[in-house]
Amino acid sequence: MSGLATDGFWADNSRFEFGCRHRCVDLEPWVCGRCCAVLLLPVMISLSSVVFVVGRWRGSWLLQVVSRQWDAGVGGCSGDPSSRGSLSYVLVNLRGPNHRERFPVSPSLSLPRSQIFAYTDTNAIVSDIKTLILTKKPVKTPPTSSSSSMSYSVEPFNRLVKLAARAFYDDVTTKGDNQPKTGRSDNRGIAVVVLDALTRRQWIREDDLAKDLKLHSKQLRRTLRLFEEEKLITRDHRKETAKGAKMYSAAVAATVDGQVTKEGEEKVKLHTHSYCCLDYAQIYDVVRYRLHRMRTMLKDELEDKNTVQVYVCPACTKRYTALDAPSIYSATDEFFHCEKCNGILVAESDKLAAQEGGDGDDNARRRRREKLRDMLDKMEVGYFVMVFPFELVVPVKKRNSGVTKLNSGVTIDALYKKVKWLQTQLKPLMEQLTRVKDLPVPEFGNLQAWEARASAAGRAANGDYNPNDPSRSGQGYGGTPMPLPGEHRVEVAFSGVDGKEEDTKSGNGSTGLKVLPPWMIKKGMNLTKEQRGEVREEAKMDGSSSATTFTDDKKSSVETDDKTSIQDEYVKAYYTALLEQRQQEFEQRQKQQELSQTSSSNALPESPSNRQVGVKSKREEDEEDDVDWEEAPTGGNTGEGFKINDLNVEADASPEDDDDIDWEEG
Amino acid sequence: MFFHIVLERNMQLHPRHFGRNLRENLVSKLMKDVEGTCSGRHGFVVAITGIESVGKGLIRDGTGFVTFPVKYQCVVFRPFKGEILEAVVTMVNKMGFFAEAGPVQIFVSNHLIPDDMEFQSGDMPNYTTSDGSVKIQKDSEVRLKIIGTRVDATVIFCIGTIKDDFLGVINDPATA
Repeated sequence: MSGLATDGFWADNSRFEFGCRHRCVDLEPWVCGRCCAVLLLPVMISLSSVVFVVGRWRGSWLLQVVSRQWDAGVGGCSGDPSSRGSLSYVLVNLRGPNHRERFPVSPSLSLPRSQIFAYTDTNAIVSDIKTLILTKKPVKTPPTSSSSSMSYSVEPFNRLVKLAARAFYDDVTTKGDNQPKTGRSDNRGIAVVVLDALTRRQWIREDDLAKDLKLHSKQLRRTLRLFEEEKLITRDHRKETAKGAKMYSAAVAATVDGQVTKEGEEKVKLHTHSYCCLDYAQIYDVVRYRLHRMRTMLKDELEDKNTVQVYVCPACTKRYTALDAPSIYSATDEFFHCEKCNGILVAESDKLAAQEGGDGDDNARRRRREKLRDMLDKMEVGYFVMVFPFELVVPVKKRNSGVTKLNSGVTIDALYKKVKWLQTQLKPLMEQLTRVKDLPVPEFGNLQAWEARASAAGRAANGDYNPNDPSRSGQGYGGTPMPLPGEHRVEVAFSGVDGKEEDTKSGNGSTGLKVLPPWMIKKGMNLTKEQRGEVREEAKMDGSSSATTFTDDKKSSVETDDKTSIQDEYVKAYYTALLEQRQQEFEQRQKQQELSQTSSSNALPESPSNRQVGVKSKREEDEEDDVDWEEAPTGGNTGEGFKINDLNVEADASPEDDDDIDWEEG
Repeated sequence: MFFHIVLERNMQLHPRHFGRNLRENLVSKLMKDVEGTCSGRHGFVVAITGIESVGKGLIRDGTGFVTFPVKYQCVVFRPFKGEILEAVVTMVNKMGFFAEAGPVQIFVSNHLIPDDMEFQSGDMPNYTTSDGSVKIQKDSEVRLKIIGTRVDATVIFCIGTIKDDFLGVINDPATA
């Protein structure tokens, strides 16, 4: 790694020029405004070559390796790679072993500058990029907090939705055609309002949305159905009790203000409730497809594709189309002849040219022709450059050849208006699309998943125990909720924020937890000694007990689990804890041997843990292993799984559990 | 596009065909009458592949002809707008060229021929690119897209374009 390269220089300090010929290096969307070149950010600079991220393709990153021998130093490659025939594209598959993993998408930013090494051959670069990015932690949405799922930003996507709403749904009316359109019932613009409202929400019950927007729910539903057909939103309908609806309310409250509502009174009556949510990934595709269709249609119109040629008789102005060809074709002189006057027909686009200098209204015709040509000029340049900057396919030849009239039924005026509209409306939309292209799409999942996640997040945030929590109720969603048995409640008290609290407490070595009465403690429950009313002896015996260090670890990881991968942290911490525990066990066993050798029961204060350490704790540890091999891959899925693991380790550190329970039962 | 469909037709049979070969005569007459015709609804009847059923005959008063309702399976060819066809050029002129795809006649007007192809008159009129590499003349085979159909009661006429991707000459007899 000799000679760390910097941005503007090759590794050997010769100048490396980056950007298109307009030197628009700092353009934010990576597109040169003048030549429409796509600018590329280098991810690797070596002695001989530079690697750019060109784009993403089906989960792979398309990298472009520009070798120095080939090109003296132009880094920005415009849309025509053929002009630099020596460039090579390298497709690096950046999917992890687990295909569901998502990697940070913004290509250049995810590679820190310090990772720009000096290389001598491109293969090494590619392989290193691969490892670099593959070893990067996959961005998982930590399901425990909705705040982190929102952390990759929804904002650009919301802007996209808003722009699309204004571009495409501005004058959409959901009224049926049979209803008279009076001024009062004119509900144009409602689509925009609803879409805007949806950008500020995640999953929302449609009744609530209607209430918020002060709309009649029927009207809202009609609008939403339109959006569903247009594939902008996903909807979910389910039958639920009044209490089931509370689950949703709880989730909403969790996302809005972190306050989880308490369980209300039960009603057995079932209602069908509908929920809706924006589907950002699909919106992106839908908008792009729509633009694509518009582009191809306009292009076809402009290029006179698929239009039936019209022929006109100059004498009697009778019009024929190409479909009449066999009847008007005359084999004698190979021209089309008028059926009435037998005059030679002229194709309509040539008509104006043919009548130049002909009759009296010559000037009017000429003016009209000038106007048409002007419009076509504007249309072609404006349309292709402004709206679709990547497709600079100006049909120059056509324009120069003097064709001024489109043969399709569309009038020039209408087309011109359409193009004008495209310019004003769709340019920001296009820009937003390119901006959003490499961003990870915010996903809220389906309704159930979202609810579970949101309410879990709310619980983690404020520690309020919610007995109506959907993620824990064993009977599933929408089922009639059963009164929770006391045992459950105890467990919940554990897995909630109490666990976190306990972390801090045990870290301080103090016993602050509520002591459970002995009748509440049953076999098989994972309880700490504090809760059993015991003094924690182990922790006092050796100050740097494994348990304390472990919980400290956990605490810090709890704090930062939004940013880092919980899984990695957890596995690491778990194995260190396991290791330490093994060592401790070994020490204890040695101590026990010493004890039995000295055979004096009063010599040392016999800790309860030392008594049972033989076979039993060994077995427990095996169990632990089993459990954790199961848990480890899925770890971090739910906050509870995570916390329970924590507790298991805790229990592991106090292997006299069974003993206690024996005593209590006896 | 080709379809295999069942059609029905009332066949009138002359009394002289009555006898043990009545059925054979009926079928051969059906084939003679129907194959190669064109209906606006179903397109060209290319071939009869089988007889589904022959109904009860009805003797006409006065003539002695007998009418049989016959159901038959047949292959029909119906061109559609947007369909891609391969056709043989039959005639080239200044206005464009005519081509045939089986029974269907197709006209490609000169503004639906790519702009770089120019008309060359002569005893073998043709459309040629400026470098002369591609030439459309009589008997050339072209692939074209139908952009309009005109369906009359007994005839179908189409107009096509070769101004699109992957359209144009596919086999030139001059170079072959």
